[in-house]
Parts: sequence; structure tokens; C-alpha cells
Amino acid sequence: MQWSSLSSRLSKPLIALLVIIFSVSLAWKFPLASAEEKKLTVYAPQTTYALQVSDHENREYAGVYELLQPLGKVQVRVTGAGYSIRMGDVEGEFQEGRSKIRVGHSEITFPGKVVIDQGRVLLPIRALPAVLSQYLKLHSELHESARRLFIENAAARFSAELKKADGSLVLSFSKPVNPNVSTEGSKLHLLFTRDPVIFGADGFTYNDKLVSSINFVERNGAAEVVVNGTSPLLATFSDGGKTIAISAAPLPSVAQSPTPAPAPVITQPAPAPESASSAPASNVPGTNPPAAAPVSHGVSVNNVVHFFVMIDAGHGGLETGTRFSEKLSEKEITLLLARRLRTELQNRGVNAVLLRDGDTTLSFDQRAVASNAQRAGLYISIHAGGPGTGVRLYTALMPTPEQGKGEKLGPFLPWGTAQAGFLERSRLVAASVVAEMGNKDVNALMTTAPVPPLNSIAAPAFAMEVAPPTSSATPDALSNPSYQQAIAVATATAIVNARPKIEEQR
Amino acid sequence: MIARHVQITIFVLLLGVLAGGVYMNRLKQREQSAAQTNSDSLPVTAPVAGPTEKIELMIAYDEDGVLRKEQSSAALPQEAMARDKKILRVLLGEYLRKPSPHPLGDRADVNDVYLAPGGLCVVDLNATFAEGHRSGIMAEQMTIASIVETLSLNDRTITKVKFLVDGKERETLAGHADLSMIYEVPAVHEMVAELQVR
Ligand SMILES: [Zn+2]
Repeated sequence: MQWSSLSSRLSKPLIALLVIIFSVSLAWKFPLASAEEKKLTVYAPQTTYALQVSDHENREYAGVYELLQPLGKVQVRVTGAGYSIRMGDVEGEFQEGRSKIRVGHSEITFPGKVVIDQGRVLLPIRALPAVLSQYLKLHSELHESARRLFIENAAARFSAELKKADGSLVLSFSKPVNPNVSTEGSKLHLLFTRDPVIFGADGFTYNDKLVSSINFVERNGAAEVVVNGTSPLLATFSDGGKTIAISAAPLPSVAQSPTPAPAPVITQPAPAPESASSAPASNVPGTNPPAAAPVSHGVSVNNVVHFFVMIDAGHGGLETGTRFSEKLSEKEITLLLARRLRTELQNRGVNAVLLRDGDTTLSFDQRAVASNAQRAGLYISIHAGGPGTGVRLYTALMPTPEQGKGEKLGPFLPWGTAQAGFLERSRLVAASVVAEMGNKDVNALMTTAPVPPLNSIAAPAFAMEVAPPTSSATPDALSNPSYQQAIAVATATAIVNARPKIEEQR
Repeated sequence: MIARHVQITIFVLLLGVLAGGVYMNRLKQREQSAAQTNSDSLPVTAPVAGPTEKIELMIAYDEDGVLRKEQSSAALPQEAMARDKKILRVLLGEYLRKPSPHPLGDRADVNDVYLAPGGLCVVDLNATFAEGHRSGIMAEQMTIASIVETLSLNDRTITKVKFLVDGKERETLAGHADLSMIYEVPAVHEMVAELQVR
């Protein structure tokens, strides 16, 4: 239908009504954006920090002291004429209302004027690179509309490459990065709040069956990468956080994982193909993540996520966990065991994904977000170490309901108690693992324990801590392949046995 | 007849063994007294006059992976917070001795105990307690359980426990046990009961 013919058929009042509905819906959708505090993120080679930004006469301002202080020792003095800010042997003079300042031997003029607000010296953010270059002799580059300031060579460009073999999109960074990952239908968002990432383009469009485009947006002191797919996507970190592979989220299986996650779930009544869950996952060796049954192209599978196990190898990166010796630390043992467990699950036709498949530093919140956003059907956190022997299975020790009281968040679950509704199923699957360990002659027990991030996981979840097999064994026994294998096989078998219960709708 | 030089050699060897024995004994004594000074050097609240009272400690035994209730006694202050703090120090004394059923880092201590309305007890541990603590789910879980249980056994008004480290919130004790949450005594009871089942 042609636009001209469409508009001629619609009466004027109707068009007006549509415009009103559209603008109301926009206003409803973006109230957070306008209420959000404005900030300027400064990326220095040694640190990243954010400055509060305020508006004065339609210009954006930030504090000079706040800008300099993270970079060295700064002294502020009140002088007869205004304020003096000293750093090293460079002194700057700031007088309220002037659109000119003197720093060291140079004068800097700028549009706008010096604002003094409750003893803070504020300058238009556009003047900040000149201030930095006078005080510190450092070159800096301001992305003004995005409010990102890069000092010297802090910016880290990244590249995106589409791997034809499996259709995954691989992002490579020059330094480890730590974005917040979220998904929304078949869109995947990576939000970089502290990493100085930049991209050579605003985006690319791919003519590919899985990834259709990648867009790079800088806004309010942060950078965001949005990857649009034809089906739900999954991000996997490797290479110590320098590589992010984006691939298809695990696919149709018998039942959908129950989803208390915020977004509305469109349940599809049509039975999904049985074959995908019973056939071994067709993972290409060497590629990280999830399993790959065929994608139903052209069919909207938005918001329908299929059962997969999120395996979270405890610790990683800067956080080593227990150090057993010079050469052996917990983070390595947990990753080895996580990989074995993934293989054993996949051999049994269960999709499994590693939350980290490399030496990456991840916070508890990031782990919970990754599992919840991707809607894992089961979450397993792996740890290793003494005292004692055998394997311990832990389910969440929840705070009592009063602690979460008052957190009425509509469809959202209060963060610290997301696990509450899943506890029964978590215990069921942990008990199944204990029983199966017994069959493999590995002694095992199960208790509750206050182990983050279990309380924040919106799915059946447990943690396991693997201690040496016998009291005479050394910590080296923890990386013993046959011991690890027995544990991985028992866990995978137990999960297969318990799966109908795990997936039961509440 | 044994040659004279052989006799001398044997004599010298015997003397050596004897001297070694005496030296070893000395070493052992020194170590014991060092261990004693170690536990004596635990900062203790001002000495309290008066008779000692019976207290109950819930002691973690790493080797068996269980907690056991044991009787002890100490001279306790009248004031409730000082009293609870003293009881925790008696408990820590059990862990700081060598050999220990559940080793803690040297100089691990409780800075303070506060009692808030509503049965909330806030335990402020010193930084050394957290930094010197072994890392591991079970190791950390047993420490939390032992402290919460011991407090609630001796002070029935306590229904929840919150941990601080040097007056500040801390994410975990040593990488595993959540310190951001408030521990409910009944939930900890249940956890301890589960640990006892073997
Ligand atoms: Zn661990």
C-alpha cells in the first residue's frame, strides 16, 4: 500500500490521535532516560572514573577538581579573585562568570563561563581537554555528545568478525572488557560502563542467517554494542575477557524453561521438535558455546528460550580463589571441571554453556545477570577446595521474606531473592546429584549455604564444592582427570534424570 | 676387646644423641610457650571480677565437617553487648589455639558486638579476620554458622546476625560466604542440622 493513498484514507482527527498515542508511548518508554543522571566518563590509561554533569545556560558542566583529582595530588585555594587549583607546579585561576581562565602560562578561552557551585569550580565539558593539556601535558579527546573523554591512548578499538563456519560474530578487544550483558528477544546488548571501547563505525549489516547487524552507540558516558539476530543470541567470554563470541542461544527442546524474568514470555503452544533435545549437540570442537540445532529462519522465536544449563566456573581473572600451590589455583580447577561437565551434558543431549570459558574476572552480579538474561534452565556454580573430602552440593540460604518486603517491582523479581520460587527444584536436582555421586563412589552431601550469586538466580540453581577424594590426597588430586571425570559424569547423569522435574512449571 | 678409638667414637655419638634429645625438648617447650603467648596475646576485654559463668560454644570441626556444642566457662561482664563480645572471644580462642579444630588467621578478632532492636546482632570483625580467613564455601560457611549459633545459644534475644568487617559492609568473608545478607538464626540452625547429617 502506498503512503499517499494510506494518508488520504485516514481522516485528520485519526492522524492526530495516532500522533498523540505515539508521543505518549514514547514518553512512557523513555522516562528513565531523561531522569537519568548525566555523567561524563573519563578514561585514563591507569583508571576510569565518572564525573557528575550539570546544565548551566544550556551547556554541560563538570568539576575541575573532580577531573584532576584521580590523576594526581590537587590543591584548591580560595583567592581574592576566585579559586586557585594547583596540581604539581601548575596553578590555574578560575573566576566566576569569566569565559577565560589562566592555567600555568596559558590562557584558555571557551564558550560559556566559569560556574562556582557550592565551592566547586565547574567548566563547560568542552573546555576540559584544554585544561588537561595545560595541567598534565596530556593529549585527550572528547566525544562531546556521548560525554566520554579519552586521555592519551586510553581508547581501545575493537573489531567484529563474522565466522562463516558457524555464523557466530566474534568481537576482539585489545584489553579485557567487562560489559553488562542483556538480551531482549533476538537482540543482545553489551553495555560498557567502564571500558574505553570505541568502534570504527556506527555499525554493520550482515547478510547472514544468524546475525543481521551490529550497532555501536555511545551515550551518557557509556558505550553500547547492540547485536541484532534472527533468533535469540548468547554471549560467551574467552581469552581473559578480550574476546566475546556471539552465537545462537540454545534451541528448541521438549519444554521451555519456566521464566519469571521481567520480559513477558510469549509461550508457544505448538510442540517443539523432540529431536533437538535427544540428539547430541552438534558443537564444532574449538568453538565455545552453545549447542546448535537448526534455527527456524523467518519464524519469530522471540522470547522463547529453550532449556540449557549455565555452568559457572567459580572465580577467574584477577580473582584466583584458593591458591593450592604456586602453580595450582582454584580458578583453573573450576574451569577444567566446568568444561568436562559441558562435554558430558552435551554427550547426553543437554545444551550447556560456560559462563566463562577463559580467565575472566566476573562479579557475582555479572554472573547472575548473564544467567538470568539468557534464561538458563539450570545454573551450576563450581568451586574446589577443602576442608574435608568429596563433593558438597549447596542450595541457596535465603533471607526471610521480610527482608525483601517493600520491593514491589511488578513483573521484576527483587534481586536478592530471585531464587525463592525455584528453591524446591534446586534442592531436587542437588539431591539427584548427591545420589548419583554415591553410585560413582564419590562421597557427597548437600546443605544450604550463603553462596553468592545463588540468591539472585532466577532458575533452579546449586553450587558445588569439590574437595579431594580422600583425606590423604593432596590438592593436586582436584585436577586429577579421572576424579573430575567421575564428578562430571555423575552430575550430568543426575541432571538428565532430574530434568523433567527441573523444567516443571510451578 | 674393642679398640680404644672405636670406644671414643661410640661415646661421642651417644653424647651427640643425648644433646640432640635435650635440644629437641627445649625446642618443643619453646614452641609450646610460643603457642601459649600467641593465644594469650589475643586482645581480651578488661578483666572482669566475679565468678565465672557457664557458656555454650558451637565449635566447627573441619575434619568431620560438623559443628559440636561444647561447654566452657568464663567471667562475663554484666552488660549484654560486652558479654556477647566476650563469649565470641572465648570461641575464637578455641580456633586460634594450635592444633585448631577450624584454623583462623592469626590475630583474627571481634572489634565489637552491637545489639539493635528487633533481635538484630551486628558483629564487627577485624580486617585480619576476613583477610586471614581460608577461602572456600565450607570453610567460610562453618565460621559463620559457629558464630551465629554460639551467639544465639548464649543470648536468646538474638534472632538475626549481620557481619561487618572493620565497621564496613563486605561482599563475602573470603570469596564465598555472603556477608551482605542478614543471617536469620532459624535458617542457620537448619543449615547446621544439615551439616550434621553424614
Ligand atoms: Zn571458590
